[in-house]
Amino acid sequence: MSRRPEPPRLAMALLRLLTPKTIREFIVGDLVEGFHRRVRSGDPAEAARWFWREARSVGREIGSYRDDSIPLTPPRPLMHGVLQDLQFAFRVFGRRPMATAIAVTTLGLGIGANVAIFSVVKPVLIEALPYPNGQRVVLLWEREADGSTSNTSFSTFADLRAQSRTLDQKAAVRNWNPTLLGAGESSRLTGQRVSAEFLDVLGVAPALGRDFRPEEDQPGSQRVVILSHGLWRSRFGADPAIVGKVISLDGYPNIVVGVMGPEFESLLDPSAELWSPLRYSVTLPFGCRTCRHLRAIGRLAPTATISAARDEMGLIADRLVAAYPTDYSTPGIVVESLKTNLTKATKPALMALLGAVGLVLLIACLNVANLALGQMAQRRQEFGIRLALGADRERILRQVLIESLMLGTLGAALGVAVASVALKSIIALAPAALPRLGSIGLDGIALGFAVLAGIGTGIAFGLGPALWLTRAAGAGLRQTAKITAGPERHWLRRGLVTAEVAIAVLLVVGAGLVFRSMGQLLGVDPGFDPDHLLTMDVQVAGTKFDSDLVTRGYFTAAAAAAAEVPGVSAVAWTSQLPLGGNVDGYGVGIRSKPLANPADRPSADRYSVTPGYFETMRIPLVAGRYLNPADRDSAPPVVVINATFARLDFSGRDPLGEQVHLGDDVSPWRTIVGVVGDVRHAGLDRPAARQIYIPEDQWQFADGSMTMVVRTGSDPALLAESVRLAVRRVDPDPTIAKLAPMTTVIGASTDARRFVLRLFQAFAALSLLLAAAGIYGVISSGVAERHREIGIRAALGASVRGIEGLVISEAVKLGTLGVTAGLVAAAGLSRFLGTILYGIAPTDPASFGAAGVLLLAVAIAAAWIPARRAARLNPTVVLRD
Amino acid sequence: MSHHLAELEQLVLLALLRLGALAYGVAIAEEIEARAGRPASLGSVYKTLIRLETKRLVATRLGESTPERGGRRKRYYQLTPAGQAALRTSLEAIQRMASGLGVVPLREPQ
Repeated sequence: MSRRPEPPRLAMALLRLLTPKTIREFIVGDLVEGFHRRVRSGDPAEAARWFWREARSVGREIGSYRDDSIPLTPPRPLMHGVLQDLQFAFRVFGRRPMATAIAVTTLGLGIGANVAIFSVVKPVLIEALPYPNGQRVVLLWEREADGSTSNTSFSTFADLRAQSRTLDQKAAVRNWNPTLLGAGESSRLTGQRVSAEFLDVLGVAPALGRDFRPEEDQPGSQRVVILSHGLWRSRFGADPAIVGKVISLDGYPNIVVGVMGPEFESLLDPSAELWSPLRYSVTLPFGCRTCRHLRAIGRLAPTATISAARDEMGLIADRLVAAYPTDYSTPGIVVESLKTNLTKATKPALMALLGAVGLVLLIACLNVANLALGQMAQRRQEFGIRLALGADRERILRQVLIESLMLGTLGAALGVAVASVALKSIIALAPAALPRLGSIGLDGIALGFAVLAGIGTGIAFGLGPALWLTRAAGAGLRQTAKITAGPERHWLRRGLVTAEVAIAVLLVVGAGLVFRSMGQLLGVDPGFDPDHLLTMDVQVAGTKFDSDLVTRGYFTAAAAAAAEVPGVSAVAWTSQLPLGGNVDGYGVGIRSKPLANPADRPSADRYSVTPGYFETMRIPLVAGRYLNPADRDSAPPVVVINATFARLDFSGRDPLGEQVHLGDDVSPWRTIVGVVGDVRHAGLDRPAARQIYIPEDQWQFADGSMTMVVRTGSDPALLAESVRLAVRRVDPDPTIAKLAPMTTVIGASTDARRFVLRLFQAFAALSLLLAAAGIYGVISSGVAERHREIGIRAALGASVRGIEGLVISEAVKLGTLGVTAGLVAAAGLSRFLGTILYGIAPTDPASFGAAGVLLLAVAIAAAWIPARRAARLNPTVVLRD
Repeated sequence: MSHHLAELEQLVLLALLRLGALAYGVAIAEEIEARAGRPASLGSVYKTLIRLETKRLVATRLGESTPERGGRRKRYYQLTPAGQAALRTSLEAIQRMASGLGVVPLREPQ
């Protein structure tokens, strides 16, 4: 058996040694192929000789070639050049560390701010709801006479559930604050009582255990609960065998039937930690048709649209009104998608923030463009030499492109770092009302956004100027040089800086307007004296408080104990606290003004208060008298109303002595004995509605949850612990929560505005910084280019002040132009702040004036250092150069 | 920019035209030897190809690998538009210089 002949080994080794690596494969391949062909034609000896001869020729002809002298059109010419460009870009950056650092920082801050805001906005405005086909989940509201929407009642819900075909799942939901009694201190939980179909409407199921069964949603059935993942972990140690165990809520045994997964988001009430069946029926007193305290939700059937559901609800509402004319005011049921409901409150603020942060990025981009233009001037020599050496325009543009890309990438990387830090502060600062707060975070999309923004701005604002400057490269080097050094570039750079100043003015005006709104808001008189006032929620629970007598006895004893604490001057209880986020409205009927339809009765905020409440809160008396300890259970029923109530319903008459009743017709008539000042209840920015105060002793039932208000002589925060201990000593079981000075409560009620304000302030500060950097850059390079002129002026006797003034007047010119443009733009745009503003016009002169002055001051400050440098120039040195 | 072509450069470019899309080192050398009747070593062919590529008169692309080549890939060469122009200019110059002298019959071989 003959071996297949191989090329001579020594020749092969020589060949490998002598051929440049880049083309070795092809040459060796050619030789081997030629060798085998010659072997096949029958002469192996001649084949070997041929191989030797050709190998020697290769060594002779190209053996001295170095790898990099072989031209590299495909396969890897592009990458090779790119690597060169990258190395070169690093050298360029290294030569100008300051300019590079400023550009990267500028981009990083701009991108970081945008990524952070984008991450906040995305779960709210962009993402789908975190439920399967979440866009099919709708809320159902009853329409009020004034066009607003209200909750519904169980009777109405039961009819909707039975009659609607466009919704294939429906559930009613109410708030629930059970007290968990355990080994340690009892604690008040936030939960929801829901129809058995609740989770079906959302399209989700417990991760552990099972969903509610229909029979568990009946009055008198065994109490069962489903826990949130968070509660399961925090209170039950993530007990894997929790399902089937019994926990005590409000003193009643409840069987845990399920635990939700960690991914479940409770969008209807983000603070909800547990769910239990509603266990209502239409025959229960609170199941009545006018007992509107339930939220109704539903899931559109696969074939139904929201408009079909609206049509159907219209028909059902008409039938209900026909059947129960005195139970409904304006016929109509409003169908609203859950997504719309969640976003409508926050959308204006988020859109304003998006706009503002976009402007920040724009300033950052202008700054980078400005820096790039400045560098172009310095690099015209470099480019000129390269053009003269035969580099073409494409090659130079590619170099600039690579530099821009690198700058953008570095900016994006820094931006992501900035965003992750900023997001932490933003989340800490965010109002609890911001939907989907828990879902805010950096994700792939946000990172992609950062990279895109970085590279996009890098290219647009780095390559753009280069493209523009080298567009005349065909006309030669001189042309390029002229543009980069000439008036055209100055004009361009000044234009950019003017735009930066203008945008900064916009942002500062915005921040100023929001700031002034906050001031206006905090200046609003809430109608009571919030200073030196301590507040605290106390909730009784457990079977021992089943009797009203015991409950009232406890609250009376607790108030007495708190009053004993040194430094406390007055104590009272109220069923709800103004600005505390409570909503407790009752329809009010007036004896002298009967209405045909009781459902048309106006609603009033109802406060059950103990004697001394007005004095403790310092709510002024307008007419009649305050409530006093004589207004007890056995005495004639009395009420006190607020001034708005008196004005709206008793205008021109004396309300004292008139009689009203609350809720249904069987409730007793109560005589108005006093009128007090209005109190802001729903928010400092919301005018007072009708308000009615009832002696707690005379209310139908004892509220199990009351708020204590404590007037103190000194800082209420210092007394908080003593008051809490005093109350706890009366009975350790009731849950004490939300212990806080009233000023803190008011502060919390303005959280959403404060959030927007802080972000606007941050953006404005950032824009000022960037604009200052832009002005500094232009002025200082202007000074550098005018060394000769300044030297001549100095030689001719110009004073230090004169030269400084020369430079600063330059900045003032730029600043004035930018401020003017910015103020004009702000006048046009500020109305988009809309509902974010309070108590001031969108063209508030103070905000506009302050922004203008501030920007001019920043312009002068930014020009100060270049001005000093110019004034210190030694004319002999300058002129000799 | 015009390029003046050396003789072997002309021959290599002509070989590329003859071989079409499948011109690679050893095939080019054999084509020149076969048609021009002059020896063309692989070394000198590659040296010429490298020079032509540096002048952007030829472009290359990677070809397939065959067992006959021990699994090594081919590198195919073809004329760029600049290469075609340079070749035409060069041959026209020769033609103009040679015309009327009766040195060689400038005819296509039949």
